Amino acid sequence: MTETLLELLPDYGAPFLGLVTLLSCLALPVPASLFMMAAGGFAAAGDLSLGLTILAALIGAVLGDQIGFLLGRGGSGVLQRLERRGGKQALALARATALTRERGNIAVFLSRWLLSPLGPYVNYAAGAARMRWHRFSLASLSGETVWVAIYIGLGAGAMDQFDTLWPMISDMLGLLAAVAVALLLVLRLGHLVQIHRQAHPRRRRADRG
Amino acid sequence: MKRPAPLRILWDHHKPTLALLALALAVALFFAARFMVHWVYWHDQRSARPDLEPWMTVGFIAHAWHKPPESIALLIGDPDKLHRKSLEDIARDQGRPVEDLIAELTAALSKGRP
Repeated sequence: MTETLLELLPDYGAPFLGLVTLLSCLALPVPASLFMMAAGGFAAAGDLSLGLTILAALIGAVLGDQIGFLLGRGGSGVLQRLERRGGKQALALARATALTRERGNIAVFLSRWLLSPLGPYVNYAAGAARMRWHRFSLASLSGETVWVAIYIGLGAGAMDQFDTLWPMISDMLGLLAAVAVALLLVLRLGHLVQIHRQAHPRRRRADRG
Repeated sequence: MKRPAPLRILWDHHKPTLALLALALAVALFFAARFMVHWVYWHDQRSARPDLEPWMTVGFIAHAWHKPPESIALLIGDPDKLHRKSLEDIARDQGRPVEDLIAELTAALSKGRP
């Protein structure tokens, strides 16, 4: 499928690239990074305009983020109801959404380019946690700018190694995303151990006898 | 007086989260291994030019192979008609399978190489 889509790129040009980056921000399985590299290559070869290519990719990505954010916002009522229900789980959820509101912009920025496989889910989560719109948008715009610049630049500058470079990049992205998820889980597990120890203080020998 | 080991606690009370961690680590290992395979391949192929693909345009190939576009276009047809067309389109216009065109162009390009 990727090949067929790539054939359409020189015909439909920048708007098509924008559509692909938009869809990729909604977790649809389109290889947007690969597309931007190819578009960078076409731009360097003179088949596409470099300025338009960058602009279209950026507009598509930022629009896609906004749509994801709004979709998440649409589900925020459910989260709020859950938070109000009370109990341990509700408290944990409230803490998580509060953390997202306060520090979410770092996650949004990094998941635009360094941890890009996680990007769409961060959009939904940011919306659902009721992150402030301007905080989200600023982080989204700056992160997407880095993303677009890296891949279109890479495509324009290293197109002669295009087919060998791409697999390494996609592996590295997968690795980084998996390591980030693993780190978050380790933090979570550490926290769970602490909670458990607070709830179950040291047992004395006498208890066993 | 013995505190249970952290892993013991997690295994007893939080198996799903622990399983997720194992899964994330397995995925990380998979990508790390694949990266190394691709890295070795990249070192082998560094001096070679990329293989031709149906979606590439004449301009793209010319740029990647460091040749003037006209010289590539002349190998497969009339340069004026080939601008911004992918190899797939060109082959369709010429009424032949794209594999044919790619084979012909690859042969012509490698002849010109030192």
